[in-house]
Amino acid sequence: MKQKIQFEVNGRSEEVYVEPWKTLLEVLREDLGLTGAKQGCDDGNCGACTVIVDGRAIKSCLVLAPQARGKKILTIEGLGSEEHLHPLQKAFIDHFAVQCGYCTPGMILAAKALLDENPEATEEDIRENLHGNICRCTGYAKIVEAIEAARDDLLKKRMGKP
Amino acid sequence: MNHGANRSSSESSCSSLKVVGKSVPRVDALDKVLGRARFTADLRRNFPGLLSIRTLRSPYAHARIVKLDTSKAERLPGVRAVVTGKDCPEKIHSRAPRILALDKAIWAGEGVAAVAAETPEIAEEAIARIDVVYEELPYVLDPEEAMKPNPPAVVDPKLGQYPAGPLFTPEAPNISGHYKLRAGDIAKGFAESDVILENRFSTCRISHSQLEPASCIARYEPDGGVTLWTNGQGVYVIKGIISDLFDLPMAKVRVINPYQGGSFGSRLRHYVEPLATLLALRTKGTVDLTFSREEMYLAASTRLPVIVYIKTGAKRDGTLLAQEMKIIVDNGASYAAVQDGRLAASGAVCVYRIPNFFLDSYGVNTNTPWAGAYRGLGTTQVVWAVESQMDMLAEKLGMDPVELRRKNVLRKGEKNAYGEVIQSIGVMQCLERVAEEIQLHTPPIQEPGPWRRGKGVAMAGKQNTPRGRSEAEVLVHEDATVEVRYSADEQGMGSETVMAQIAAEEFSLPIEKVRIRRGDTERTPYDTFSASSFTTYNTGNALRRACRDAIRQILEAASQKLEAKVEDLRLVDGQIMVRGSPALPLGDLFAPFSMFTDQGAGGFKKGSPVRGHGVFAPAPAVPWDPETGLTPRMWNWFQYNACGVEVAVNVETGEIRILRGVLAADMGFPINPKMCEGQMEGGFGMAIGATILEEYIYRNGVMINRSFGNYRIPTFRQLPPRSHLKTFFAPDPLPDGPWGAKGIGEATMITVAPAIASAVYNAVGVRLRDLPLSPERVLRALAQKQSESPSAGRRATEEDSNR
Repeated sequence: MKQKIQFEVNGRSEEVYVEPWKTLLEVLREDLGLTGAKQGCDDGNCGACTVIVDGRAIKSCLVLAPQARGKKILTIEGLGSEEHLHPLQKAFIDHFAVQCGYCTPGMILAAKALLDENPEATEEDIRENLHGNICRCTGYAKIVEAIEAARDDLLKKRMGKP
Repeated sequence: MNHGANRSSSESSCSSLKVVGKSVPRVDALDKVLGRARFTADLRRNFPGLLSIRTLRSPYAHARIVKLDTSKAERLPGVRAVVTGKDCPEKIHSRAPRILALDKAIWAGEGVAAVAAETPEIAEEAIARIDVVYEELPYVLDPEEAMKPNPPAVVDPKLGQYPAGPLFTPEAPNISGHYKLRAGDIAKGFAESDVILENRFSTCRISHSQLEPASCIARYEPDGGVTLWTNGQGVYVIKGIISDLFDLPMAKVRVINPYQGGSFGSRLRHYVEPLATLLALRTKGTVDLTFSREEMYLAASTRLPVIVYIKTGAKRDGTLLAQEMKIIVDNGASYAAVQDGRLAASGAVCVYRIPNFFLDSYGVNTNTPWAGAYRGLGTTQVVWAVESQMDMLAEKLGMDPVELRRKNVLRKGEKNAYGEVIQSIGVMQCLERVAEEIQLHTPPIQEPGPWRRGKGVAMAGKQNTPRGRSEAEVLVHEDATVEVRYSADEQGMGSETVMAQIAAEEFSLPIEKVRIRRGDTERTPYDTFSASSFTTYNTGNALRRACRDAIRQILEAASQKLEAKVEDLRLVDGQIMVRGSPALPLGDLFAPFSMFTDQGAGGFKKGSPVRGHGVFAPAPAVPWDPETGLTPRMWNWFQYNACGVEVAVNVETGEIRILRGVLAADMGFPINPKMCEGQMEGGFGMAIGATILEEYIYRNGVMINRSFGNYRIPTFRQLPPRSHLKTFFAPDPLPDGPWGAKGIGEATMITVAPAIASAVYNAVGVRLRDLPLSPERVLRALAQKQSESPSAGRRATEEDSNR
């Protein structure tokens, strides 16, 4: 009944044997121990489980494990490290965009996918593109502020300025 | 964001502060952005053989359980235990609802049986194999129906037999309690009034919808006890409940609290821990009980719906003379409810000078999902009525709404209607700031099309309950690093950061040298839980005492070694200073020892930290006269808030958009200003949901919109852009608060609904008295206004031409 599924997670090739009805979220959390992606609802409406699959922000609770076969997956654990924080991670700390932290990994990855696709995303773009990621704590103000700060930081880096 | 003049004056008075009062980054943020902060469900992998729990729930609002046969479920391979109400302890805790229904289910969603199995799939299959037959009974959803002497249903047949039921009324079997306030002479007050205004307001049931569902892992221990990892609030309170319910020795119950993904009051009741414990004991194994989002709507806590009848009398000049209120608080299907509406009623008492006050509040049971604490604890719902009433009264008097409030606001040192002396109140400064920033007296600029703009303001206060007992411990090591041990919660509000700031300030240390250890009954000292916005005040005060206890021991030791007076010594970043000059590194006070030295001798030894301990508990309330409700001390202190909004209302669709928000708060002193802003913005967001989006919708007594898809909470799109959301502080320091701090978490929510409703009235001329302000309600009110007076709909248009 279990199927072999191979994919790439955070730059490493992974091979798991799982029941085909398991979601990508379950596989990441239970089989690979990557618990940064969270479960917040039953139906893909909270965004806490967001990961990046082949460059796109995806709700991993809506993807069955076999659908992830051969894909490149990035989770929060692969985005940055304590020594080398991703600009979004740094901005979320600096701008107090974190409260309970349950939405944070999904929020950061959804923001990364947006900024990868649209490096000059405006506040309006951020609000429109991330509205599937729910935060109950912050009222979103400081999250928008953090994403804008990270955007500016990334743009500067891209233009080769310090 | 900038802050008001009031704040800079308070900052200058504390200008010597280095860490407290500064927006230092959150100590938990790094772990949270890296995805390595552990929440309860993240620990599952640590438990091989972890069993999953699933619960069978009643599909009826009120039903007798005629047959309940679990044998087929028990026979399913992989099922380790099946339990029903008969397997549950008989005791009922008001903090922990009945574990499973016994004989009858009293709301749609109540647990009837539960299974622990080797996989979630097997547990679900077993649930489907339970043979249950119900006999539907009449139910009651409306609290006004439920509180009558012969109601359609008696929700909790044992109500009135529990200890501590406040003023239970036997002839009305669903009324769990009654609180009365009788101040002055109400008849005289109304007789002397020039203007009298009467209204009815209501709020609906809503969900906390914290993002992390309730979750508990319970492990049976070889000594017969249990260890719980849970996102429930208050590790020691949970320990007490579990020990009591299951007759387990206190010494054999350990409760550990990882990070909590929000609570907002939801996890102050313990609705997963008892069932998880029951099944851990049954299976002698480790079990995981995590609610689905659907269960978070059906079987977790909810916010009390409140109905308020309010009659206000005032003189022509706006002076308030009399207020009569009837407040009905809907407990839902609570077992052992002790609610009497007193907490909710406090929202009507803590802001205005009302010499003649006559108030009755009732707690009422209905066959709806049970209710408990929710950010504001009932005051939000009562403030919805009081502030809407003030806005309408101002209009009736032809007075400016800010002026009316200024005329009647309580001043420091005055007594409120309970008879309490107000010791800290910054509410008027909050309102003035908000009215100025939103430019209340400048009409909004209207644009062509169906959207009409309007502005509104409101102000209010939230009491702090004088309860809770907090202990804190500090361990000072020879390398001048400090461990803080405490047990209050960290549900996202930032208690770990505030405690680290307090310790860093007391020890004059960089915050990086402080390590927080929190929430484990085996390692961290007693605390009640984080409620009533009191963690900074209760636990913060305890921690300051713990720090000073350790510093005193260190300075006494240093005074002997240095032969200097203790008064001349200070501890600064690991250095003992004598009258300002470094004299001795802290580490030199710790003697090295070996088998050749006297290891048992007194004095500090290397490797053995100096321990400081502190306890804080607020002065207790003074019992009130049950006939008048009067007392010099019912509450402890009040946090205050004001909100101003500009909204747009679509006259074709009934939609409301929040265009601008201005928020001001009196938290006494902002220990971490950015985190205070975060509370204000977050409370505003949550309140927007409660005001325009959220409600439990029932069909045949069953809540039907039980998913995030159908129960809409605010997203990025419901909040105004950053440039249109401003926060201000107007702190009035509290004499016994840490550096004057009170609390902030709850008051941020309470003023938003009446400010929005006032702005809607300003925009389109309709008064809405029931929450939420849904498009249907707005359209209905617009249509009614149109039909009542053909010229009514013109209000906005006329104003357009004036602008």
